[in-house]
Amino acid sequence: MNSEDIERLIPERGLVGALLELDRSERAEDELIGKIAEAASKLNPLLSENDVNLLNRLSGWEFWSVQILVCKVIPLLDSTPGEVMNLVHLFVEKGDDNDLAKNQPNAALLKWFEFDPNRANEVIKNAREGDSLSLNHLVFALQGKGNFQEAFRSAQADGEEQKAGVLALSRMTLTKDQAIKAIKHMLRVADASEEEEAAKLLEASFNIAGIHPKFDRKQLAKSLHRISDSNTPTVIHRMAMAFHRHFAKMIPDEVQSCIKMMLKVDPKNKGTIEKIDSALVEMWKADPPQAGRMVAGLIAQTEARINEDGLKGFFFETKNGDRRDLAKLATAWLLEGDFHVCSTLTSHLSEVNATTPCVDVHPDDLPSSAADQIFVCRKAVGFLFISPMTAASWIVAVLRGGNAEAAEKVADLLFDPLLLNYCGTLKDWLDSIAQTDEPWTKEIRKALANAQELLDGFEAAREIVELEPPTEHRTLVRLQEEEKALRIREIAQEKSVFAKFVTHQTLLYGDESSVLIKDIDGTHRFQTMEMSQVSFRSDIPMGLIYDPTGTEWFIEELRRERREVK
Amino acid sequence: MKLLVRQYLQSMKERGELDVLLPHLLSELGYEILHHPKIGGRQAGVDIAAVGPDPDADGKKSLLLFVIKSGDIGRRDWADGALQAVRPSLEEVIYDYIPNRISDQYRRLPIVVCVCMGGEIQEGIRALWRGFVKRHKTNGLNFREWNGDRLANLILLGPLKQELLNVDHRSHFQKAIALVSEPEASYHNFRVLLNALTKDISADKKGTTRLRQMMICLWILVGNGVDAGNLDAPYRACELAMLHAWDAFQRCPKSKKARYAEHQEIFDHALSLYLEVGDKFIVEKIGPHAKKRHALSSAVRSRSALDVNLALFETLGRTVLLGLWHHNIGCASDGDKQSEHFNKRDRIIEIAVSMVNANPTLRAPMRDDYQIEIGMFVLLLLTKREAHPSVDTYLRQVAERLCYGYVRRSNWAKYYQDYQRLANHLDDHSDAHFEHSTSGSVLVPFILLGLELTRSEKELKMLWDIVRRKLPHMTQQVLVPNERTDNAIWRGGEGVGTCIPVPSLTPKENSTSLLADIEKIISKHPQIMSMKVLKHNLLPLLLTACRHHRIPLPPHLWFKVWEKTSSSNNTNSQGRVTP
Repeated sequence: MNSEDIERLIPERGLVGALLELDRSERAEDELIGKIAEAASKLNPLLSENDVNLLNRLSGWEFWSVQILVCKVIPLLDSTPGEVMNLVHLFVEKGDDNDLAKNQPNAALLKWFEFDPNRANEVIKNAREGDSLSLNHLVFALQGKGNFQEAFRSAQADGEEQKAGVLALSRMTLTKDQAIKAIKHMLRVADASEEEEAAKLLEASFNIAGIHPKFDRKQLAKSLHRISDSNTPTVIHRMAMAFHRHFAKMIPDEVQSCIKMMLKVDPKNKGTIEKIDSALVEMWKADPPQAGRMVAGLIAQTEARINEDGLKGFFFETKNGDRRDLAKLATAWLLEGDFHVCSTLTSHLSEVNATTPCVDVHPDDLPSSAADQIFVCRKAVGFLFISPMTAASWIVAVLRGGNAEAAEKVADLLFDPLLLNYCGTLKDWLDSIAQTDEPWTKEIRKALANAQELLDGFEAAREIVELEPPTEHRTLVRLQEEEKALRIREIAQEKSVFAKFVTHQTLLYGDESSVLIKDIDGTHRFQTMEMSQVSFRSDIPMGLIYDPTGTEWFIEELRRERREVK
Repeated sequence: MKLLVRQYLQSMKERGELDVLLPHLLSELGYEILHHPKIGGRQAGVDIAAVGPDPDADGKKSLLLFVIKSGDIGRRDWADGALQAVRPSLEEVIYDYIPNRISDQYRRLPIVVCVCMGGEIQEGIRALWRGFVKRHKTNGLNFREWNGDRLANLILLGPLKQELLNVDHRSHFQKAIALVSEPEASYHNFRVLLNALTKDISADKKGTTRLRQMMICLWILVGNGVDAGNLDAPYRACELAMLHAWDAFQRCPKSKKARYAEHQEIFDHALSLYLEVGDKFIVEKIGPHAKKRHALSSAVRSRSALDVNLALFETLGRTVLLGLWHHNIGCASDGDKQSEHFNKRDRIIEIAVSMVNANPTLRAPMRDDYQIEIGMFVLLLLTKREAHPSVDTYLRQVAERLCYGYVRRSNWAKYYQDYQRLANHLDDHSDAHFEHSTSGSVLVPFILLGLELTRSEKELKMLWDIVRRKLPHMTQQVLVPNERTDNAIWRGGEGVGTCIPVPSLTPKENSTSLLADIEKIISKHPQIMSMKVLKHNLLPLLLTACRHHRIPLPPHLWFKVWEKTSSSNNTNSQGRVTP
């Protein structure tokens, strides 16, 4: 498409119609966008009735492809503010509420205001005179103009203008004095407002204060404390967002108020939980114990309705960060002993395909009293039973440098139930520790000797073929296992996001595949790939086969037992 | 077929095997047995003396004196200086038995000394054998070689001949032998064979022949099982054969003295073989591993907890049954024999207790009908005062785990016996499945009564509480024998008996006692006392039938309640085996 085509097409099809005509390859060309803006600026009105009708009919990818182009065109338009704001308004309204790209036309409008301050002046004036379209876009005009006094004036007004003023101030780069002035005003208004209104003003204040590291935040903390008893979801959501953005600069009182509010989040409010999760990621980096306590609080108070699924970011960070920090987190949780919190560890600390524990428990990180050390070890065995190396880590730490009285009592747990149930990777790991031959490994060697005796017993008993189940029983069990595996695979495929976007083919034979593909230049060639087996390794506890009731019962007892608090 | 029989003969031992088989074989072939070791032991070198046709002298009626040896006869067996070697035995026959021990009525008959063996005379000593024969042979005295090949022919032409063992039966027999390492299939075929052999069995010569066929087939199966190192099918076949033999025996009128004696002898042989195989399996094979933690559980070699539970309860049942048999025989014996059996019983108690301690799955039955195994275990423990505390402990442990299973719906005891049914619902914890699988129980009332008798207040209260809260749909019940039971229970274990729900329909409010109900049931249903098996003091045989055919233990046998009741009726409660 060339300049002539554009000049012909825009008057003929209108702005929206012409943008739809653009071929995908032409859309990124700045020159072409400039030509479109130039031609569109000549339109009077900017959007015809046909444009509006056409826009209303657009849906899905068609709408978004046009919206992206419009956002490029808007800053270059030379039309009246009213027409540009109307265009922005129509595209924002049409966008899906759940899509973050919905507000992109507003960003384009801001650029449009920034291009010529007169545009902003006109809108500010009209807004103050009560024009609703201008009032709706006042914040961008104030922001685009970048004048503190203008924005502060609006912030001192009432209603929508005040909101626009406050918001604009929160987005502008202010000097320290300006910031102090703006925040002081906002907090005064906030303290006199209902909690939802106050939360908005506080959020704006946080944004302003965030730019000035040396800002005295005591007053902020005080205002925040005032609304910290709120249960209103929007207030909690705003404070979660503020916490996420400004946690690093917050003083302890602010942090406590935010945590207090976030702990009241309704598990159904996924968006807020997502914000809290983002905040926790930051918090984990700065203050792991506090992040751990907060997550424990969230899980415990919601009885695990907020769990690993909702806090993916936090759990990802903990798992992929420092193993000692993770151990400290787990120790703290196990010591508290809350059933739901500790249960989260069960799924979080998975040893699938692992040859070492998921955590690095250091003796210094153990609780100080013998009773607490024993308690933590027993809880670890109870909740991390399916991750035996990890479960054994606390016992090993106690043996290595814990309380002597505790060491004596927890050593037995190494054999029963751990080695008694797992003689695979756990045994190998303990073997590697026992090789150091240090005095504290004596109990480990003893447990390993017991395990070896157990295995020798198994080996010797192999001669009793009479106990083996009949072939038909084995066949039935095998079929059941295969069906179960198939069901798991089907569920996994259903849950896979990736699977929805790719073509699925099932190759039945061979050890490599060769697929005919088309290159960018249009040539066809075969791409060959070797097939490989995808598998994972995990030990099944023997107790679930040899003593399912006893094992389940024992583990349940360990999980449910309470800590003696003196 | 002949190869099977030959292999079996080759592996037979001299004592307790070959010398038991041969009289049966000879009797079946029409020989008159004058003496066999079961009755009189070895006499001056002769193991068996019989009168009948000499196949090597055109069937001329002769007195046959058998000297039995196992396997092949080699140089050491011929003459290694021991009295048991062949040549000294033959000399003993020539210089002692023939001149001194043959009764007048047989003195005129030609005498044939038969060296009988499962294998053959090895070439290396054949010349010595010929020389011996040449030197001692006279007009009235001949020497014959009855080797494994001849015995196999005699078996196939005699008890197992085509007319007596038809093609279908042979096929089942051959499958039972060939599949001895696949015990389920082997047992299934053997059971079909036995059912066919003992169907409508008559109390005449024909009936005896059928029973002998059964025993020969059993011996061969056992021999093959021993060779294959798998005693499962032989053990089960022995139990079943014993029950079939008893059924035939109890149907045989005492008036038919010869048949009655034959039937009784066959039953005794079946029992002896059962004890031998049982000892070999339980004491020799299971025993050394019983104390080792989880060792027997691991021997199941399955990833299924159900498989382990089934295999271990099956083994516990076999163990305690064997112990009860030894106790019974011990009670009926005296002197060294009594000590020997009581020692075995004690060893078996030790094995059973060790099994339970080392394999905790035995404290959590997944099948309701393990009431049989648990009940027999308790009975065995009660035979020895020192073991009594184990009863209390065991019952409490079982009760605790039963409760846990019912409350958590985890591996709870189901009334199903069918494996597929049990295995298909392992992950089904729905109300519908739970209620269906626990709709009836013989185990719960048994445990409740046990807890009551052992004064295990806490566990009793807990189980009653769970029964009321979680199992209101469950019909607790007991099965008592009725007048038809004695006819039906032995061969196929048809469910003949009277089933009685407990507690009674009008229990006292919040009553936690079943004892009164059970005592009333026992007193109102005394038919068990009329069973012939108890008249013959063979209580373990009734237990064998219960275990084998999965018939719940009648309350008369729970915790020796029966003994208490019967002693009050002035009846000897202590079972005694047939002498």
